[in-house]
Amino acid sequence: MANPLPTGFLMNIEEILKNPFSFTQRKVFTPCETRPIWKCSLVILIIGLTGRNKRCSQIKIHTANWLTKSPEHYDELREWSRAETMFPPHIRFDPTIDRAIDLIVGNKYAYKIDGKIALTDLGEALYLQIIANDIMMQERNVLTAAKKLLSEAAIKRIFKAS
Amino acid sequence: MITNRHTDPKAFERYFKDIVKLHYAPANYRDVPDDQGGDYGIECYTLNGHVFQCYLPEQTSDLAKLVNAQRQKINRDINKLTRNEKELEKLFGSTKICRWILATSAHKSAEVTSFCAQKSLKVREKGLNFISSDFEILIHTEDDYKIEASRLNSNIYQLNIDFERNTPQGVEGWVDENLTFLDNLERKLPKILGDEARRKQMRNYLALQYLDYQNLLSRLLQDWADIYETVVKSVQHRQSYLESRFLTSPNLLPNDVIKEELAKLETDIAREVSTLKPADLELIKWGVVSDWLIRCPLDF
Repeated sequence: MANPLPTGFLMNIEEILKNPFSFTQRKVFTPCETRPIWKCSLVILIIGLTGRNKRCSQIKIHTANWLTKSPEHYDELREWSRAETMFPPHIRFDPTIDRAIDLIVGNKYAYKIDGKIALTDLGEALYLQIIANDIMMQERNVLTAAKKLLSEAAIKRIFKAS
Repeated sequence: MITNRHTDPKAFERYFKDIVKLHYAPANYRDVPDDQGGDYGIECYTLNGHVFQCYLPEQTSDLAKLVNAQRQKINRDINKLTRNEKELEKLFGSTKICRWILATSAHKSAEVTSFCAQKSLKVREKGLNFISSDFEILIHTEDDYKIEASRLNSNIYQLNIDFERNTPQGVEGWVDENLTFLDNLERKLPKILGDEARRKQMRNYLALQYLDYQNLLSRLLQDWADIYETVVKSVQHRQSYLESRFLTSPNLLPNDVIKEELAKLETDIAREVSTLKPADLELIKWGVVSDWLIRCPLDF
């Protein structure tokens, strides 16, 4: 089979866009983890699983969200916690988390108190529902494994060292 | 280590120091590192008497909190001028300080400006040896150094997005296994390319760009969610425009229209994420066209 791009072969976008065209509306794929209902459920899961008295600081929710995104992130956090590295984890904030927090607060699944986000009875009931079903298992597993690394004091240490 | 200058105070400090160096030139710049002991409320100064102190507030959306935080920061660090008078005299040598500049991420309130003006007068009244008679406290953001910021972002501060890249050979195998998925592409390419060999090359090339673009998006979603959102929104914006344009004019549109939209897409993303490498921007453009051809909104 011929090499799809022989040496010296140049592709020019103009070659495709040289003709008149039509453009029709089509469905757009939205990754699951960017959908509001999924993100809101994740925030409730984070608060329920890792929060003391079912409440978490915003920065802890961001850290836990970052943690669920890749196994490498868990390794990074564990190495830092065991003092195997002097570099704190490279945590980036996700703007959809802030919107998810606003949504669950607006819909009475959580409320803000003393700079933290706490689950209401409604939020706790949803958390128990998530736990009762075999859903979000990957996230649940990593959050459960990392629970001790996610204390508010540990999170503060990460950001202080950054 | 957090290296995002929008969330990491140390990264913000490094970035703003680079801006200052670029603006005043290294020969006119003295760094004041804080690795050994305090920095006396100063990050660096220039030999024409401009002192810089960096401050990245935790948030900028709540205006009252922002103003309060900035006032407190100025107050705390300006008071250090008096408290560390002897040390600062040695630090500045013969340089007389005429400006103390808070380099910060946002300046949104006239209240802070007034506070700076009043505080400047109070500092002058103290008669410190190293303070010039025209001393002023100012607030500067990146916006006050547009040229320097643009140069840094397009050269030094480029994002290294580490995503999996496909090889042409690997893609050829993928194409063979995904012929149904590429049906739309197969149907469209003969309308624009006559030569069969060329069509095959173009099909494989578009598939390669499509897969690399998807990998780039996945990596952004995992590690740079804010940038992912910017890219996706910019693409959706252009797509919505093309959809509405075709709705109102159902005949085939001239090719210049889509070329203009792609150019705008590139400009939009480059403006929002000025640290994106040109090669990644080019991939996004190709990836978007591939996606439009494969998923079907774009036809000829």
